[in-house]
Amino acid sequence: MSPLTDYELIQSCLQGNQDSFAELIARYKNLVYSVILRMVNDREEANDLAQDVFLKLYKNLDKYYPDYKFSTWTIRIATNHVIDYRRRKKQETVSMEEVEYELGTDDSPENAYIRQEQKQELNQMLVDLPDMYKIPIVLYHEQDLSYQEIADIIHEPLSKVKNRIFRGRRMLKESLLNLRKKEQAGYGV
Amino acid sequence: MECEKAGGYMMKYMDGVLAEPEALWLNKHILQCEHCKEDFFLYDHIMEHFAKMPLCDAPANFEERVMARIRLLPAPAALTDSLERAFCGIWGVFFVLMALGLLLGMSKDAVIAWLSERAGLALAPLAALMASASDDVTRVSNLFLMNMSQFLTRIWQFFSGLQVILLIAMGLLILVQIVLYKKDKVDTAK
Repeated sequence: MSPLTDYELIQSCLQGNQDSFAELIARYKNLVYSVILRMVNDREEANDLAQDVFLKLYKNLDKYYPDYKFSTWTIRIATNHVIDYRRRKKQETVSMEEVEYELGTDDSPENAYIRQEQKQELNQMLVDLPDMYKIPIVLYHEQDLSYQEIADIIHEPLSKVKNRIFRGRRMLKESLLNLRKKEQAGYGV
Repeated sequence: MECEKAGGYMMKYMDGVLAEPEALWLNKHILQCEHCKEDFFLYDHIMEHFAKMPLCDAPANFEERVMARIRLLPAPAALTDSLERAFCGIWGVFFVLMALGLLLGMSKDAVIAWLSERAGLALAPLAALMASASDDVTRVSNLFLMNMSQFLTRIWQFFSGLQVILLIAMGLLILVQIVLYKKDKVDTAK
């Protein structure tokens, strides 16, 4: 038997079957958590916010229309929720170190250190990007969403999404260039 | 000019849609232009970083924690039903009162006459009160209708002739744009 589609699960949930929602959580928890983590940069906070997002989704299930994919609707709610939360909190994001993943053990300690440093620098640049550029870039490059899906999520025309991704990439490139120049100056090259 | 073209191709490269002739052109260009070469390798470094970014998994007990909170809530359909029932109730009362007011307004003279005739029931004060209230309502309604009529006349004078045609044309144009935009979005989403 083929698994139920997202829409079928939603309909089942609207008929009072809460377990159907558990299946939707299982399908989208990593996507939601991942996107939120990139935005808030703190695992605990991302966990709480992701839970809130699923509660919000549950309460608004009857407002979902299958014109868009459920994942699109989910990420739209998640990004809006984080933006609202930030607006309320007006808090600076913290260090990316917590989000760091483990490095391969076959590297020499020196190489591993350099790679770790470079990863942290690039992650920090991404974190420092304004939301209007960061959200489309994370959705496109990390979540592999299409321009159109991102346009649906952030409620902006396709041209604006492309423009923001292009500008975001340029901003990252400029930050990386400046960093390298500083490093070269530091080494006296 | 060529560097601008190269910048565009670099974006296409990052989107994974760079055609072979474009790739050959870009390759040739970055061999000649130091600035674009530097840009290209920086972009490439960023792309490599994105490619290595792993998807972060939600904590192990995430599902259970969300479901525990959800089980405390009523079913989503029930939430909607209760809201809809409340709205229906409010609208129902509103329409009944409106209908009653309309009926009374339309047949106020008959009602007042009927009340005045029933001297034995001592309804004369009620009839007088109704007559007075009815006069007030009539006066206010007439005033409102007169002002509305003046307002509409002024609006009509303002938007007469060519202006109104232009306004309708602009409205239609905007409407067509909105419909096309929505249709495009829905088609692509499907």
